[in-house]
Amino acid sequence: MILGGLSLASGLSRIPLQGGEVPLSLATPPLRVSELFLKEDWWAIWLGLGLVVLDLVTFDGESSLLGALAINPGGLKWQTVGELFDHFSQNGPLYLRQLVVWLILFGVSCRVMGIGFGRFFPSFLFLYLLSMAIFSVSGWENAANFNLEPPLVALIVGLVLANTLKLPEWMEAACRVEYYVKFGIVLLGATFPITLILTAGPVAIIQATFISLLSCITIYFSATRLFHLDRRLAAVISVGGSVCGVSASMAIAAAVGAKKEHIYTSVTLVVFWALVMILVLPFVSQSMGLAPGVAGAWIGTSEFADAAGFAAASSYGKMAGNEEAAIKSFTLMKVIGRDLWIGIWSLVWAFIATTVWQNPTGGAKLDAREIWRRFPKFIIGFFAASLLVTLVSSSVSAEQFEASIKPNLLEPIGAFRGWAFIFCFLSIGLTTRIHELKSVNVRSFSAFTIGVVVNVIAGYLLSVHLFGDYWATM
Amino acid sequence: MTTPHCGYCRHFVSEPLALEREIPGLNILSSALGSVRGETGLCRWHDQFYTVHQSCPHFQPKTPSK
Repeated sequence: MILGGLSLASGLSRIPLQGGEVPLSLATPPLRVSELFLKEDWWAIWLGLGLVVLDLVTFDGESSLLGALAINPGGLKWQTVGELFDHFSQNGPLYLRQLVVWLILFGVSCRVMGIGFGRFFPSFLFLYLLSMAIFSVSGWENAANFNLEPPLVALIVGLVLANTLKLPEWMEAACRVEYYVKFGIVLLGATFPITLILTAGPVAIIQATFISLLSCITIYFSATRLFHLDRRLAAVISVGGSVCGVSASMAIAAAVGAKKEHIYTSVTLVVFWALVMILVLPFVSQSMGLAPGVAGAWIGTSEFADAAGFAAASSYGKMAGNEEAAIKSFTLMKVIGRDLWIGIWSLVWAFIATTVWQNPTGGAKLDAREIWRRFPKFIIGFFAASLLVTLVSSSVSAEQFEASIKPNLLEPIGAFRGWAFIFCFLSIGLTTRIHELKSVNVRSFSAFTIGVVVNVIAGYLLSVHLFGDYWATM
Repeated sequence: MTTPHCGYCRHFVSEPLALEREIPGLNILSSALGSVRGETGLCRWHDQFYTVHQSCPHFQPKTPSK
C-alpha cells in the first residue's frame, strides 16, 4: 500500500530538477558493528534496559536500588516555599547521588559519541538544576489551576532563555533532545504491557499508515503541482510532515539526493509547526473534553517528532488527570504506527528516485538493507523492556501487582522516565534559537501547511470519531 | 591506498557533531547521532546528501589527522 501510494505520488517526473548534478557511482556498503557504541539509539537501549534490569534484579518485593534514587519534587503538593526548602534540605544527599548517576550514564555515553565531558558536565548541571526548578513549580499545590504542566513550562522556559539571552555555546552540549526521548521511550516500555502493544498495535498501524500516506501525498503534490518546488525538496518535506519530522527527512536525504538547503527548510517547517502544535493541541483537546487516550492518539497522528509529541501528550494527560493513557495511545500511534516504518519509507523513496526519476540527482541506489540500517533501533529496547516486565508481572496476582510491583518496581522507572522527558522538553526550548533557523519561502511554507491541516483534520476524524471508542478505553 | 568513497573524501561531512554544525537546528527535534540517518552525510562539493559508500570524480582524500 505504501509503495503503491508513493509510486502514484512520484508520477511527476516532468517536474524539472534545479541544478546539474553529477551522477555518482556506488560500492557495496558493509554493515558496521561500531554503530552499537556510536549511535544514541543503541545507547538508549543499553542504558534504558540496563536500568530496567537493575530494577528487576535488586527488587526484593518492597524496594529496589532504582527506587532508592527515584525522587523529584513534582509530587510534593507544597503550599509554602518553606515546605519546598525543607524537602530539599532533607533530601539533598539523595539528589546529589541521583545527579551523579545521571552524569555517569549520560556523560560517559555522550563522551563515547564525541561530546567531551568537560563541555557536557557544566551543561548537564545547568539542565538538571533547571529541571529541578520546573518540577518544583509543578509540585506547587495550585500549579494545575494555572496549567503549569512540567512539559509546557520546560518548553517555554527553554524558549525564553534561548531567545532572550545570549547563552554560551557550552550550554548546549548536554541538550540532546532525541537521546533523552529515546531513553525515555525505552523506560516507557517497562510500564507498557506487551499484550497492549500486540492488541492495539495493529489499529495504530492502520490509522497511522493511512494518515501518513495521505499527508505525504498531499504535501508532495501541493509542493510540486501547486507550487512547482524541486521534487527533492517536496520529498523531504513530505516525509518530514507525515512520518517523523526532520529525522525522516534525513533518512531519505541520500535516497533522493537532497540538497543541504532542502533539509534546512525541513528543519524550519517541522520545528515551527511542531512547537505550534505542542502549545495548541493540549488546549484544543481540553476545550473539546477529549478522553486522554483519544487526545493521545490524535496528537500521535498530528505531531511530527517524538519529542514534541510526548510534550503535547504528556501535558494534556496531566491536564486531564491521566497522563499514562495519553502517553500510551500517543506511543502506539507514533512509535509503533509511524517510527517503526521509517526504513521502508526510505526504501520507497530510493525506489522512486531510481526508477521514476531515473536517479539523475545522484541519489543512493535501491538497497533493501537500508530498512534495517535506518531502523530506529531504540524501539527494540522499548519492546524488550515491555516483554521483560510483562513476564515478571504475569507471575504475580493482580493484588500483588497493585500492592507491590506497581508502586515499588514500576514507579521508580516512571520517575526516571519523568526526568528524562523533562531534560528532553527543556532541551527543545534551549536549542530552538529562532534567529538561526532558515527563512522559508511562502511556497514551501504553504505546501507544508496544507499537509499539516489535512493531517490534523484526518487525525481528528479517525482518532475521535472512527476509532474514538477504542482509544477512549486506553 | 585510500578507497575513493565519500566516507574518505575531504569534501564529505559525516561526523555527527560536525553535521549538526552544518545545519543549525538539526538537533532541535532530530539528531545526527540517530540510527535513521544511517551513513548519510553532506558533500560540501555538491552541497548534497550522499551515503559514505558513494563516489564521484571530485574525490579528494582526507588529510590524515595528526
